[in-house]
Amino acid sequence: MTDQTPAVPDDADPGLTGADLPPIDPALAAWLASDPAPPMPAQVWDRLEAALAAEPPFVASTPTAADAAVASAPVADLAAARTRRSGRLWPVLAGAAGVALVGLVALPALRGGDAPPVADGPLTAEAAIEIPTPASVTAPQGNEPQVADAPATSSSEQVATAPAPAESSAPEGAGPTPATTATASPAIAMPVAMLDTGTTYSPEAIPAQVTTLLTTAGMADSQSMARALGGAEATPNPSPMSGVGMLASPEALHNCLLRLGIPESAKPLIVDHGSFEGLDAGLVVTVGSMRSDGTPGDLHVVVVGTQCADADVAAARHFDLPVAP
Amino acid sequence: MTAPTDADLLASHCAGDPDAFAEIVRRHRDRLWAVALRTTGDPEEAADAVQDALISAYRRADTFRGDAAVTTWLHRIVVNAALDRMRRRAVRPWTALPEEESSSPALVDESRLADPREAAESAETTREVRAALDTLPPDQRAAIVLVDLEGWSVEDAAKVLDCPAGTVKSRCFRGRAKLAERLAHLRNPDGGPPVTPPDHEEITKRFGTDQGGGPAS
Repeated sequence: MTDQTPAVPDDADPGLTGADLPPIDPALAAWLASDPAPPMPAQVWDRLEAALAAEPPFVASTPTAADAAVASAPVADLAAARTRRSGRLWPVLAGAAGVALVGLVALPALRGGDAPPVADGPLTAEAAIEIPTPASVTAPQGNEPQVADAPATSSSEQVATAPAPAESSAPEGAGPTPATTATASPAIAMPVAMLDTGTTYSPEAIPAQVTTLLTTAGMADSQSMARALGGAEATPNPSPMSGVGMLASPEALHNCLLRLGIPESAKPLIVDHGSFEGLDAGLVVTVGSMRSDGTPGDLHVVVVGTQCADADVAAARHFDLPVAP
Repeated sequence: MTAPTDADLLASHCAGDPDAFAEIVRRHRDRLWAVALRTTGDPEEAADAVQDALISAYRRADTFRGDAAVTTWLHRIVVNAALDRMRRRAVRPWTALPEEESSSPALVDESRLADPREAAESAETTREVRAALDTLPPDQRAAIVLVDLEGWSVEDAAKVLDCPAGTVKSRCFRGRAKLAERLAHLRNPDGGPPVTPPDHEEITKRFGTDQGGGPAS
């Protein structure tokens, strides 16, 4: 795209923007008016009305109410999760439930390496991800990811999921009061896995790099992703996050995801700390769409500066990666 | 008996009324649809954005605090959902191809235009305007859609876009400049002098200098 407009930042300092917006050029106004928007098509309204009708009755997002609101959401069996984790050679950050948050596992290792090994296959964002088996993946030398396992908890501490907001910016004062544990902040959406690989991400390698991340996190194929999202496992007490910016706390990550416009339907799978185009960055992998069989159809990946400031959000790179059936 | 306000309906929804939220949506569906459609430029994306956004609003209705109109709150959620889809689409270059664009349903009912030549010219103008809008960065496009197409005030658009009013002005100003440049041939079909967009100096004078606010588009 050729852009002849001078390269001035899109968002000028609001403190310097006292000038009124001049009236729109009449000719431009006329051109824009030549393209009126039609009313919402009947089929769109029908679909929307049906979707709203299918929603359960509204329940306020207080912790107690949230539990009730998502009573139908799958709740992880922690004992089973611990058993599974303890039997794994691969460091698996598992867990999760439904649409949003469940477990947060700190994974402070694997730092300092270069990009994870790139799997064979087309290096395009549109290429279907061919998930390698764990045995076919070579972890960066001496940098196997480690799992900061959650402390044992009773079943009463299991965390139900709560819907994550879809809009980039919640209304002022919206949302529950942040807390430092999942049990105290059920509305804060967290990914299945929190990683800190230090990967140097690049646009052309994103498909392979995400493939490696998923495999490392125990989601080697669409079925295992579905199981993780379906709440087969959960880690309800997140370990303290030790990163910066969006990686500093569950609340910071939650807010950043909101600002990135991660929709409610996009189930978060992985967040990783690395770099992108020379900048300290976080990579977020969410489910973009689901197939009718309940497995992910494609993944949505966002790479954003870890500070998640306005400029970072504006410069964030988004990728859609189809998942091999 | 007067009809309940949007705020009343939202309160009813939060109190468990199963029909209240749908009534709010029914009231505002066309405006929400228009914003989503114009922001995404794609009916399918717009439909998905509207549905995602309104389901989210349904579930999070208690986060509305009443310091803005319910419609502003809904527009904010819809615009953000549309922008998110635009940003995702930014990595799919084929979505900007004219072939796909022409395959989307027309926004203008050309059958209602009496003069075939006028209809053809109008359709061409519509195509050109859509193509020009498609070239704008999502944030500028959203600002143009709200202020210049949907008639929102800068202040209300700022609430929808969750940014300062100055930022909305800046985005509109820059977006208009780009549109004027790209549509200049419509103004000057006989080869007259092209429209000159505001230059860097003017933009800086009006809306401030580079403060590191956002990336150059």
